[in-house]
Amino acid sequence: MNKKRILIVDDDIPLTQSVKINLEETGDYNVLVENRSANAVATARAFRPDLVLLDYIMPGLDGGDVCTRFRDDPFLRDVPVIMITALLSNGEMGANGSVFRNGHIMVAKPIKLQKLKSCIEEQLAGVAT
Amino acid sequence: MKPPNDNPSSGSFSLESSRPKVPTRILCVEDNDGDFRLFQLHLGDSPLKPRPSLQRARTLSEAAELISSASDQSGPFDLIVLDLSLPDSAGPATYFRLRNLAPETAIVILSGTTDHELSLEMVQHGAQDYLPKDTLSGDLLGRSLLYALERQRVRMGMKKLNDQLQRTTCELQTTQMHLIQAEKLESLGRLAAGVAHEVKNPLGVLQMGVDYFSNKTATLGGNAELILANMQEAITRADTIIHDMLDFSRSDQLKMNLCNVNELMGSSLRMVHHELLKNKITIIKTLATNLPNVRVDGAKLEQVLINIIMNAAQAMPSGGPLLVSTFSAEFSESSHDEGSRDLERLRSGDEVIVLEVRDHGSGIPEEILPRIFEPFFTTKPTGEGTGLGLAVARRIVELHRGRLQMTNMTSPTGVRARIVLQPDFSLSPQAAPSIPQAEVPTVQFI
Ligand SMILES: Nc1ncnc2c1ncn2[C@@H]1O[C@H](COP(=O)(O)OP(=O)(O)O)[C@@H](O)[C@H]1O
Ligand SMILES: [Mg+2]
Repeated sequence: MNKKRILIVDDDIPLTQSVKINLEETGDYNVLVENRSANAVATARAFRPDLVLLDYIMPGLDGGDVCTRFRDDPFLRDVPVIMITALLSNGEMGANGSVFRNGHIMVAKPIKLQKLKSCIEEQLAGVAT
Repeated sequence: MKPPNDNPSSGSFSLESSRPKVPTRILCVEDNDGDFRLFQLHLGDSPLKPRPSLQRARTLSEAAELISSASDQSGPFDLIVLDLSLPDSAGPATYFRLRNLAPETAIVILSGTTDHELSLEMVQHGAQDYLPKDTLSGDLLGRSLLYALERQRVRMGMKKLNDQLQRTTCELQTTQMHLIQAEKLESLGRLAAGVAHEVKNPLGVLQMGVDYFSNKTATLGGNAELILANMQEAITRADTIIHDMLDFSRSDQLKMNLCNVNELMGSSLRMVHHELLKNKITIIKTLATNLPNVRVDGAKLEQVLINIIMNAAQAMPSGGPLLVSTFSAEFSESSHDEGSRDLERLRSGDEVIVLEVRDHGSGIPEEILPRIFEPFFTTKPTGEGTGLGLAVARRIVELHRGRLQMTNMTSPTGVRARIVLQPDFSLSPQAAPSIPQAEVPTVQFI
């Protein structure tokens, strides 16, 4: 079974490290981390991810900017993106802990591995069909 | 204050403002026929213009009747002339009783030879004057009565001013409280966004750590599972506070939809179903049918309901009934929502939709009642309460131009929480999607 390729774009090094380890330990994913949002498009072009986990608040280009560049890129425009943000509150989230806004699935930090996985699978399944 | 030149003979003092255009209405309370006739005579001689209208009472109870029927029909008497010794009352008590019966009327004491001293004392207690019966004359009477009327007028004016001053002071204090509260909320909002970003990433790292080791408890052995559970709880607790704080900074962004209040109540109850079950809470629902819809941010309103329901559950540690209901009503101000800022929208008498949650807990102690909406005010142990629940709840409800009313109940004790919203008639209740009636049992035990 071939592993899904996941790119994490987030400036927080310890966080991205631990997310990578946890996702890879499930045995289902091949994860690459990019901590500098300015490099996100180049890294993504080289890595060809099946899905991108994108932090919203980052120095320089923020998650919204990165996403726009992905959408403008012929190779990346169809890659599903999950926005992970610290600025969502309970009141703004649906029962399943995520919300669809501005064309993205958004989830709130801190996210549990279980929830992150189901969110990723949902998005990947959405692309497959 | 000088006597007018054109009328020197009157010897009386008069003021334009107090000169009555309609006859002064006088009540004479005097049991002695001779004394009354004498008074009547002197009054006729007095320079009071136009001629005053005079009524007489022989006893205090007769006076009471006349006073009450007068104030019902033609307004209170302008002046009462009082003999302190009556068949049914004597001495100072006579004056004090009458003062109570007619708080706004000038009272002049008619004193016999024996009770001058007592009369003087009554003046010190607010009687306008005393008149010795033996040396009474038309002039003296006229002047005394005019003075009495004037003094009472000034006194009432002062009382009115004083009342106004007190009201204004009270309003100022309330406004100041609101301002402080609003400022507190605003800085909290700004803080929340900053804190959220700074704290959520570290929390995310901790969460990933817990998830990492959770798969390996078998190899870790010992107390690993317990420690991980405690860590998970700590992360959740910290996260909850930040989420609540964020709700301040973001709660002004509402996603309004037409909602059915019974559905809101139902979905909120479902979300806390397990908690309630665990706490042995029995839900008793009384949901009105055919209520108009409300235009609200459903998710936010659910959050408000959940906060209120959880408070109610926490107030009943050994379980009990939780009465939830929805109904329409005429809006009326409750005494405990002084903190509400958006006063211009809901008015007494408006038709409103009410979502109510009542518990049979011990109620909220009176002395903390004014503080329950303050952010971070809690009486609960650390970890159980953040003190943000009601603060968030009220903010959300007020952003909907509604009210959140918390009232203590007696017999049985408990708290009644009401979310008061304005109905939206743009869709009839029939046309709006609503739960089929069969799915909304009136009484449900869980
Ligand atoms: N139903 C209730 N019965 C008794 N006390 C209540 C009730 N609801 C709220 N309170 C009081 O109001 C305080 C503030 O409530 P809240 O803002 O929800 O914060 P928290 O529940 O975190 O303490 C509570 O700590 C409690 O003292
Ligand atoms: Mg609470």
